[in-house]
Amino acid sequence: MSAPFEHLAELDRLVHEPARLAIMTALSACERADFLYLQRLTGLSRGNLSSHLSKLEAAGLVAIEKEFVGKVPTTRVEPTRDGRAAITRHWTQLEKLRQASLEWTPDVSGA
Amino acid sequence: MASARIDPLEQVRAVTSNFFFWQGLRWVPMGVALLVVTWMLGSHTAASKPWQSPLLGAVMIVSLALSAAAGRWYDRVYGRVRGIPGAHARRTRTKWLVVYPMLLAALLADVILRPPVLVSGIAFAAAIEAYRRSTGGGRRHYIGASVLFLGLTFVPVLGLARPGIDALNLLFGVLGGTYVIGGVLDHFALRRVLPRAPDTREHGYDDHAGSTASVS
Repeated sequence: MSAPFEHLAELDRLVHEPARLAIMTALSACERADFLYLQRLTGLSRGNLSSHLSKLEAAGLVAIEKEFVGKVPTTRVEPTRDGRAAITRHWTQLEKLRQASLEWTPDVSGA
Repeated sequence: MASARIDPLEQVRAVTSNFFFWQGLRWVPMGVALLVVTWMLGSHTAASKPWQSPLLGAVMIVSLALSAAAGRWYDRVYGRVRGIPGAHARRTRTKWLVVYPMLLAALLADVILRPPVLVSGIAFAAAIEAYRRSTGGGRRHYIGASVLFLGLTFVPVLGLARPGIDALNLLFGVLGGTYVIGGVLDHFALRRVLPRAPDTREHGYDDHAGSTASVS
């Protein structure tokens, strides 16, 4: 059996970054969410969250829509079809890695 | 190590998917209304009969209005999440086809048959645990509530209330208290999952458009 960590290189680094992983995980559980909700969820500053969202948008993983609710500007974030597929694939890979690491026995014979 | 990182994200997914149910302050007015109704309909109430119906109506209207106001407050302070349509179809089916009929059957059994144990206590305990599990898990206070309702099963046999309406009245009073206490504790649980970010602007405002990052 190969060492489980060989598959680490296959992880999507754009999605694997902790803040973006939290954002995409949350978005995968809903149709769309507000900027405010994602900010409270991640604990990021507005600038940082904005930057992460822009990277995800540039990669085609989320769609960002701005609108006014009354006089209040609001940013709505929605995962795209590719985004949903990416986070599902990522979670599958993480789960495989976790399983592999649990089953892995290090070769300590020195052979 | 892996599980230590995955568990918080599972919670993120669970809370996002069930955001509405974690907005505990929505349920507090309902609980207060249930307590008032239980008190008014109780056999030892001092409320005068002619005023009962309008007062009950007013209590229900006020509680619904307060619950809606709490919902708007959550929108402003915590943001909005739109759920995936049909994502909880199984929960909805189970609720209407299993849980509600079970509760109704238990209530009818307690009213009509007046058994020495309160069957509804078991039914409500099961329903509360099903609610907890199907709306994102966690919130251990609901486990305590389930145990409490199981305890209510023995109220008639212990002589704490007469079988039938009296015992059910007590059960609904406890249910009202559960809404109130559970709602407040739900709110605290939500605050732990969604703490205030360093520069969070409440009332829904965000400055994503004004950030240096390029967005459409």
